[in-house]
Amino acid sequence: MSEEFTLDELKARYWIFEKYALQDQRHYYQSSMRRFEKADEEVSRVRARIAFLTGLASITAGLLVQTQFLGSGQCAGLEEANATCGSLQLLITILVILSVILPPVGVFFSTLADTFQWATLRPLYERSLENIEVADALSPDPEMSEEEYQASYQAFVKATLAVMREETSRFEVQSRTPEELQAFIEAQRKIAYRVGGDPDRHKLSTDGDAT
Amino acid sequence: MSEKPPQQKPSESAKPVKQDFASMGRRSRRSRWPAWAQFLPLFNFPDSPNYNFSLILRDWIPEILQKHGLNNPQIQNSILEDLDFLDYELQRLFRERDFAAKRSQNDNRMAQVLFMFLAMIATLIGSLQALALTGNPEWMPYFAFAETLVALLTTYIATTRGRKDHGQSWYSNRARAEFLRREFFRYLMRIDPYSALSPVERRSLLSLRAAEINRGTFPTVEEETK
Repeated sequence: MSEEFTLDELKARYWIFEKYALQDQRHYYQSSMRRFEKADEEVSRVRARIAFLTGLASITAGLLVQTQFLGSGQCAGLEEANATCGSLQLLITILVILSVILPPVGVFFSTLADTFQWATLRPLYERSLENIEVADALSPDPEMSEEEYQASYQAFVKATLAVMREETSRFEVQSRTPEELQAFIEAQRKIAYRVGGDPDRHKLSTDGDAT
Repeated sequence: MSEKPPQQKPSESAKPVKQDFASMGRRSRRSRWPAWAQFLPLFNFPDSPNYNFSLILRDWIPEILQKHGLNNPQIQNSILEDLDFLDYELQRLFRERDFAAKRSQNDNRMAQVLFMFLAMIATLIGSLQALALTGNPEWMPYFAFAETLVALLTTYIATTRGRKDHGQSWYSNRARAEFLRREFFRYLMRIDPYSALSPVERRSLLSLRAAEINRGTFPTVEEETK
C-alpha cells in the first residue's frame, strides 16, 4: 500500500492516471474501432463493386458477341467492319480487358483485408473498451474515507492496467518461447481458478465431442 | 465512479473536437485518405525516435492539479521528481522500443503490400498476354519483358527485405514497449511492487525491472496482477 501518500497526493496521482492512462486508452480504443470498421467497410464495398463490374463486363461482352457478331447479327460475316461494327468491336475489347484486369485488383483488396485483419481486431478493441468501462467504475469517489479511497484507488489502477495488458497480450504471446508460453498458460489457469472459473470446462473428450 | 467531465469552455468550438491523444500518437497527415489507405506503410519512415515524446506531458501537470484543487507545491514536486527519474530509467527505453516496433511493423507491412502489388501486376500482365496471343501477337515480347521485370523486382524485394524477420521484431518490441508503459504507471501510482518501499529501494527496483523488461524478461501475470 502507498502508506507514504497523503490523501491529497493520492488524489493527485489518481487524476493524472485517469487522464493519461484511462482516458487515453479509451480514446485509443474508440478511434481504433472506428478506423478498423471504416477500413473494413470500404474494402468490402470496393471488392463487391469490382466483382459486380467484372460480371457485368463479361456478360455484356458475351451479349454483344452473341447478338451482333454471330448468327443473323448485323456484323456477322462482314469482311470489313463498318463504323458501327468497329465501335462494337472496340467496346467488346474494352469489356474483355476489364473482365481480365478487375479480378486481380479484387484479389489485391481481399489480401489487403486479410493482411491488416481489420475484422479480427475490431472486436478486440470493442471488448477492451467494454472492459475499461468496468475498470473506470472502480475509480474512487472524492467523498470516500481515506481507507476506502486507498482501496478503491488500488483496485482502479490494477484493473485498468489489466485491461491494457489483455489488449496487448497478442504481442506477448507471439514473442514468448514455448517454455514461457506454457508458464503463461499455467498462470492464466491459476487466475481463472482464483476467480471461480474452470478453464477445462469445455475440454474435448477422447471421442472428440465437447463435454 | 468518476466525476462528470468538465463543462466546455466558451472558447471551445461547438463542433466535436478531435482529441490528440497524450500518449497514443497523433492524427496522421493521411487523414484525408480513404480509411483503408491510411493503413498502408510509409516509404519515408523516420530514421530515429521522437526524443521529446513523453507518456505524460509535464506541462499539463500543474493545470490538472489546479483544476481539482490540488495545487500543493509539495505534491507537484513529488510527481515531477518521479517523472524526471522515469524519463531516464524507463521512458528512454520505451521510446526506443516503441520506435523499433513501429519501424518493424512498417517494414513488415511494406514487404507484404509490395509482394501483393507485384502479384497483382504479374497476374494482370499474364491475363493480357493470353488475350494478346490471338489478337495481337506482336505485343508478346513487351508483355514478356514486363513480366520478367516484375519477377526481378520480386527477387530484389525478397533479398532486401528478407534478411530480417520484421514480424517477430515488431511483436517482440511492441510487447516490451507495452510492458514498459504499464511499468511507468505502476511506479508513478505506487502500486505493487512499488508500495511500502523506501525511495531508494523503489528507484532501484524500477531500474532493474525496466532493464529486465527491455531485455525481454517480462514479469509474470501473477507478479503483475497481485
